[in-house]
Amino acid sequence: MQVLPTKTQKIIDAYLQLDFGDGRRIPCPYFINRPPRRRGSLAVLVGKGRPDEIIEEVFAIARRKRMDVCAMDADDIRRYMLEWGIGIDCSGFVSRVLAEMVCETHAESLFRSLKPPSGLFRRIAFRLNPAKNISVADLASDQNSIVVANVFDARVGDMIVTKSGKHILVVSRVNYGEKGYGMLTYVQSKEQGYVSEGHIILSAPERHLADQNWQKPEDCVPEIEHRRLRVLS
Amino acid sequence: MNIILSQFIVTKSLLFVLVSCAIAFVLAPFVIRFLNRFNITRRTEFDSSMGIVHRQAKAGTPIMGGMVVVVTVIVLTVAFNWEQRFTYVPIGVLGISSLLGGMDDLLNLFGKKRRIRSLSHTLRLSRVHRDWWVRIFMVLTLPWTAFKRFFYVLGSDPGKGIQPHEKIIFQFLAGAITAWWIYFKLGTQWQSIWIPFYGDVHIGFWIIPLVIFIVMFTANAVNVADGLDGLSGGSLVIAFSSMLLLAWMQGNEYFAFLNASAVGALLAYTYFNIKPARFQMGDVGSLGLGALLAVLAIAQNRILILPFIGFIFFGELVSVIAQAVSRRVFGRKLLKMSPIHHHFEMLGWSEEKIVMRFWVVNVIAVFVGVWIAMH
Repeated sequence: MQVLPTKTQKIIDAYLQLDFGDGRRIPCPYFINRPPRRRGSLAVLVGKGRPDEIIEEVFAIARRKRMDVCAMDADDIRRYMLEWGIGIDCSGFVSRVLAEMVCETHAESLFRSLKPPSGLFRRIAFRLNPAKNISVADLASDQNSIVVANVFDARVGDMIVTKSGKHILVVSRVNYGEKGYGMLTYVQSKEQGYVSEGHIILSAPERHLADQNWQKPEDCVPEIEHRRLRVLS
Repeated sequence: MNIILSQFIVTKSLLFVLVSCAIAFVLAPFVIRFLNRFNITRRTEFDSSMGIVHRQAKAGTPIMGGMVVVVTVIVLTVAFNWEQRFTYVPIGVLGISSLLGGMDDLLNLFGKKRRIRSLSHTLRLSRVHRDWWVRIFMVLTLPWTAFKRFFYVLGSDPGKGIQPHEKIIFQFLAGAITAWWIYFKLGTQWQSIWIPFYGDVHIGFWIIPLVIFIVMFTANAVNVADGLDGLSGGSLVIAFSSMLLLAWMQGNEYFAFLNASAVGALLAYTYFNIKPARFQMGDVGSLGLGALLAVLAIAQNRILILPFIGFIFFGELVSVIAQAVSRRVFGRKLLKMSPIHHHFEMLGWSEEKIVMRFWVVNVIAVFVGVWIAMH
């Protein structure tokens, strides 16, 4: 069985269970901002923050609003996070996970190793603040990643790009059984939802990923692409 | 630097310190009563730092306590140290800046919330408004709207007080008056700046923008540092004391007496401002005294020593700028909260610990500054 390196797995666990103390743990909600709010904002306010930044920002906003996070239960915190627009979007989540993985396994920066998007201003913005300006298109571009043709070549850290490049998941565990069977575990920040895990049972080696047995069929949307970052390949 | 230490100046300066301190001590209880009576007190709803739990106890503390210092310094100087060439303009700048700060304090409490129209909204109105005259007005005033919007974006919390663009105009005015005084009234020998270990360098006309910048920067720096009980008061005592020392060494009695008045009044102010504060300085004191500190540093030809003398103030303002730049450019915070004293509060340092450590750091920086000033 392949698993993610320790620190990378910790990042995923932290998103899966944001720890607000006193046993209050909630999965990080999904949030993607509208474009006008992107300018001049913190990465954490546009759905691209690290787990610790997300928790800190919840406390900071609560402080500004004269509210006490310590007095809230987990449901209240989740509700306020949605209300205040604090969460993580799919590309933000995957890029944070992969950044940690690249750092841990290759001792380099994912954001520096990625080719920036075209256009002068986008390029400058990407170089200054990559975590905030990264998108599914950047991760899934041919410059930065390659297509994995065979599902049984899957590795941890692979990306599953869905909705014609509008959504992205990351493979967190790979388990090959005997006689051509296996299971992939993926993690995603799901639209209208939160960071969650899912499984794909690999039962037909000759067929495409979309035709395998998805434990959550709703995650298997058309036009699926299985990719791997060049830096990890 | 030729050190001219006159016993007369030193003795009379010390007298100014004591008299000023005594006047401020007598004045302070009346000011506290006045501020309480008219409810000129700190309110939680206008201050984002009040979200820090232990700061909520500060609600209800009178603000505008800086009036005690401003009034004492102005009265003493006008009565006993009024000299057109040396003290006229520093007092004028102190008055203008304090007036601006006072208006800000009062409008923050009693004014109405004002909204700055966005540029896109203005442009849309200039196209679609049914009244042609309004459309023309919108187009003609577009640069003004852009100016307002620019400073609105830079400002932290426009709220109800004086808007950032208005503050900038007033501070520019204070700086311009100082520059005019330095450039046109004090003679050509004042158009040079002193460089440590080198001497005076004539910069001519460039003294004007430099002076304007220094006055605006320092006034805002002191304003930013006025966030903890005793911090700005104590740091200003240290700063003006070092300016007094420099004035003694330069043998300039007018500046020495003016600095001495400020030191005395600030000592009394700090006595009442030590935690738990009986009153707080407010913009009336911080903007005024910040501008006065800058003007005196310029007039005493020690602009480049100002970052040492006002080390805490400059550090606080730089922390705010760095936080804003990091936030906008890199999308992350450098500090848990800016200015930096709030960062230490969030780290769990007690208010007293922060204030006293900042004082110690300021004293060390002042020693370095005075040593440099002697070369």
